[in-house]
Amino acid sequence: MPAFSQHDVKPSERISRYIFRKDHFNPRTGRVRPPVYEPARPKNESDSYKTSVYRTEKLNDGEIWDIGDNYVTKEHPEHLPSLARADTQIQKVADAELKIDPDGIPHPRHANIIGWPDSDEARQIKRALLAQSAQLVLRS
Amino acid sequence: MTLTTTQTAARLWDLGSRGCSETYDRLAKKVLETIDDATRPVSLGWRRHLSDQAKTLGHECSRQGWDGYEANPILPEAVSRALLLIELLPEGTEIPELVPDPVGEISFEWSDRHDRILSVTPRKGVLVYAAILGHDHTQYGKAPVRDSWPAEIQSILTRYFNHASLFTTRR
Repeated sequence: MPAFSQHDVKPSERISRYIFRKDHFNPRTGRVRPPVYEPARPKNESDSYKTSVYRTEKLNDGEIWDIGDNYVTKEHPEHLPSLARADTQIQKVADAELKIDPDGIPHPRHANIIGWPDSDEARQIKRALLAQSAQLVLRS
Repeated sequence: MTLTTTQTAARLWDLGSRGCSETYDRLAKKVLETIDDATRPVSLGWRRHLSDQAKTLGHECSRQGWDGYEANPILPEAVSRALLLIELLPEGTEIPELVPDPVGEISFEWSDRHDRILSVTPRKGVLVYAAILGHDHTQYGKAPVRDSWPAEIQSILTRYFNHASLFTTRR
């Protein structure tokens, strides 16, 4: 893989969210459903809402799917295979008034979308904005 | 006393947020029976189709992490909420897509070729909604469900996602 800096985050960078349900995207319209970006709930008082993504700029398709297989599917109890992914840019995260935390765990390219508001309705519009900005990439 | 479907739906929705299990179960059964009524006209077939789909999603997504991440399970109460909303959908509304939601609910989604989208997620006692209706034109909020879909959402549905609007110019 090309050299990669965990902390050098550029607005134009691509981020990918793996999708494991066929009803979370529409291959006919190329649309990603908003629930794809629903953040995981905080696990304790010091935690916050976050959506797990991978920074996939300058990776080829095979490398991107490999990360999903090895760091998402393999880590999940049911080992669900990824069916597609939602690609967008870090700038779109900023446009939705959210932030990227490039935590690099469990993989140097891992990041979380953070800054989600506490109110259900505010999260609802932000995840819709992210979904609308995303490009659907089907796994062949 | 005989309850209409709408009255039953409203009561069930309220009870769903209070956790009154015995009455909840009785009313839920009545709603399910109503939805399963074999005497329904063919024109209402789409409601049955959506209801079947909601029940299937309830089965498929009953375990934690069904989305490949940390999704909450979609419990029978959430399926009941979706069934009620299907029953209460205004006539003339375009048929929504049902989408399993990691919050543990079944969301309703409408979209069109103009990139407009309306996403509605039931929560206990309320509907949370977000709509992208054009460039820099968004609406979102939450509203209680009583004997019909909330006026705020119906307004969006009427203007952008109803059968009549397919034949009119939309801004």
